[in-house]
Amino acid sequence: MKTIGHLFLPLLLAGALAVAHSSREQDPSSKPAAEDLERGKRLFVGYCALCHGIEGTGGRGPSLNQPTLRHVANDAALFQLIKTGIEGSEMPGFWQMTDREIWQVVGYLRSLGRTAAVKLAGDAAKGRTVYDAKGCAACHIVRGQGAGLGPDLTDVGARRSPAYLREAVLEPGAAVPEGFLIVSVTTRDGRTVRGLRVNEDSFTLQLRDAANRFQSFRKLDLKELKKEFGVSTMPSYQTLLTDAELEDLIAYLASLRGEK
Amino acid sequence: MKLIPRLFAASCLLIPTLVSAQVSYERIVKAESEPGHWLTYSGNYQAHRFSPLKQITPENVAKLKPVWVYQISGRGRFETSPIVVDGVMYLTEPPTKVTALDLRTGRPLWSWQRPAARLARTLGFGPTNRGVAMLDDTVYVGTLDCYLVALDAKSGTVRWETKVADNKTGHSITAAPLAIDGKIIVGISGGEAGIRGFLDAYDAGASILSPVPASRVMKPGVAIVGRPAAARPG
Repeated sequence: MKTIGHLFLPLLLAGALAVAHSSREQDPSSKPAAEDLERGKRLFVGYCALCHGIEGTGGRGPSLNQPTLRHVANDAALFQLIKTGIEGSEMPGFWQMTDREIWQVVGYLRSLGRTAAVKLAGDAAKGRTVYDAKGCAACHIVRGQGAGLGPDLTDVGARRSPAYLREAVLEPGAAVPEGFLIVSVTTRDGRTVRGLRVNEDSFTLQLRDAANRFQSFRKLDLKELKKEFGVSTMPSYQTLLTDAELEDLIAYLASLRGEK
Repeated sequence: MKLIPRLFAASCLLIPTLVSAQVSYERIVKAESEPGHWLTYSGNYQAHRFSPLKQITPENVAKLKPVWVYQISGRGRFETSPIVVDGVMYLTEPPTKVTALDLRTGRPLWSWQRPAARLARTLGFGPTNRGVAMLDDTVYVGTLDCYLVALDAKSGTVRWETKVADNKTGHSITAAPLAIDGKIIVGISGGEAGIRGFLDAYDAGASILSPVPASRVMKPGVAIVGRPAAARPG
């Protein structure tokens, strides 16, 4: 037994050294080499830019070209977030990337953090007045107040870029978030109900109707099911806001970052 | 096509008037008059937990078949008493997740969870939650990390949250809150950690941004919250 123990110990040490060497290779705090940054950029463009924008300027997802990121305290946390995603959000986990590739993306993201933030033209305080005056709270909740028919906007400034917010206000149909698809069903007994799709599987469909009531249908009982892609229940504010009001409203929405 | 969404949006503006209070206090007081619903943790304020429904009998109980199955996502003790209102079942999953299910199909309509509850410490009991309370259009839940959270019943969006006590001192909430007239009563877990228990009553929604305890009693063995208890029927 002793001999085996003696043989085993060096093997363990060798293994530990190998692990240490491999983690040093991926040390998040080390300065990434130029080729790692380039590879990180290519991976980012392929996997992340659809939501976070080329060069991390944001879009459907939050902008990432800032020195501190909302969900992560350090590079290790950023690595883990990319790997596993954020539960309950639109951010999926990227299990298909190797650890080395994720570190390359982390390195690239950190290089973006040195980019200067875009200054918005509008006044957030005035934008809040516009938000109240235009009745946005009839469908949206901000910090607990308002109606929950549309998306919660409490932290929308942290989740969406100003450009995305502008598009959502001017052309809501172009930026319909998940969970807000309009469906129209006609039952076999001739009843038609239109509303927001809450859930759908192969056999059933649940929606919220115009009175914000949940309705449940079995597809077997339906004569027709229409999905209105690219259509939003929200009206366009293109003609309902002056240029200054629009800028102020965008500044207000961008300022909503979920802080209490 | 453009006209339709506008009409729909215009009708949305009417929502606050169209949707009446979903579960009013008066409705809970008369819970026995609508046996097809389960409006409060124990069925009614008398807490009999008895359902007068007659569809299931000693004769047919052996022949029941599942209509739908919902698989909870977390691990831990699943001790919830679901609230059933107007075709929706509201339940809690361990450690602190609230899910609204379509009563007809068991499909989830929304769910909300509190990530911080995963880090909460408990002594003598595991991560669990007994259920929610409902008042008007709001769902109330106590969290393992000792917060009371109010959620919009239609979307699961947080209306407000308030710290009831500090989890670091051994306090936790696993019990379902109790909704009475305009107030939400919460109790405390953590006796195993040596804490002194209490009941708090919170304003259900009037001071929606900064709910404060309506009163707090911290005398050992006294589990009464003045006015709300007096207002309780029965």
